[in-house]
Amino acid sequence: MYLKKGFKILSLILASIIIFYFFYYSLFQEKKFNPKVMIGSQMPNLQSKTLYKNKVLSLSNIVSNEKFIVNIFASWCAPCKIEHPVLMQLKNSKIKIIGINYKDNQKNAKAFIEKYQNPFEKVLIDSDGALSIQLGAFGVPETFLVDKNFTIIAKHIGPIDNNFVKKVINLK
Amino acid sequence: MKFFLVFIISWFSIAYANEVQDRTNSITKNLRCLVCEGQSVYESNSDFAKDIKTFVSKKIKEKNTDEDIYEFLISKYGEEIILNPDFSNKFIFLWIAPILFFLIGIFFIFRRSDEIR
Repeated sequence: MYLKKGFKILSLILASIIIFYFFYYSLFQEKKFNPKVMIGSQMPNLQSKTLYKNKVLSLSNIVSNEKFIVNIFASWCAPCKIEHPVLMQLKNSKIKIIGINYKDNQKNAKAFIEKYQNPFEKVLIDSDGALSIQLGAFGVPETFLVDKNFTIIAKHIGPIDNNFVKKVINLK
Repeated sequence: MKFFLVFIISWFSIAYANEVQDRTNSITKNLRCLVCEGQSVYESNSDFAKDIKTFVSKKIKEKNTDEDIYEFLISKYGEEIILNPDFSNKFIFLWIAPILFFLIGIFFIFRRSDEIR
């Protein structure tokens, strides 16, 4: 009888611990979005008009057999201004950066680049957000590091920093 | 005759636009706005949600099926983007758990009533 009662209490405690663990785990799990989904997958061969020449280009027309960076930016995005010097630093390291100008006014985008200098090899226009969706992006700024086989190695949400630069420089 | 043709063409284009809108709404109601708190893409007005709505509508016009659109978005954003996940191995616990807990509850109630008798 006592053994049966003890077993019941033990089961109750065990069940409580399991339920508590599930709730606790769910509470602290960052489930809102998973930025790692695109890592390791093939970079889509984005195709769009360019900002300066208004000519349709695809990524494979701009880069071949080399690592490169894809950066989503907009003139109206404040964090993009913060990361701009880091992009310039990467440009000076001879790494090609392809800009994706997200839902922007072309005149403002050009003014932005003129004001803060141009780190981009080419800028593709993303007028309706379709290019960003192909990249699995959530907003601006977002940056992708792509290796020479067109595989996405890293994705950074928000303004890039020196850690990202290190990652880029260390990638062969 | 001219008027009749214009009427027919307008009628068809309105019907088609409505059909695209209905399908867009039904798909986006089942998509999670990943940058919002507990809203579907359909309910949200965030940039992310607006982009997805435009994208879904564009894909429908390009004759993609609902499955094609879901599959594409899952490949870009993961299963999290779906509000009502399919009955797959990954979510089997989610579907089975309520039934399982219900059966366990019934079992204990019957056992208890037997003990009382």
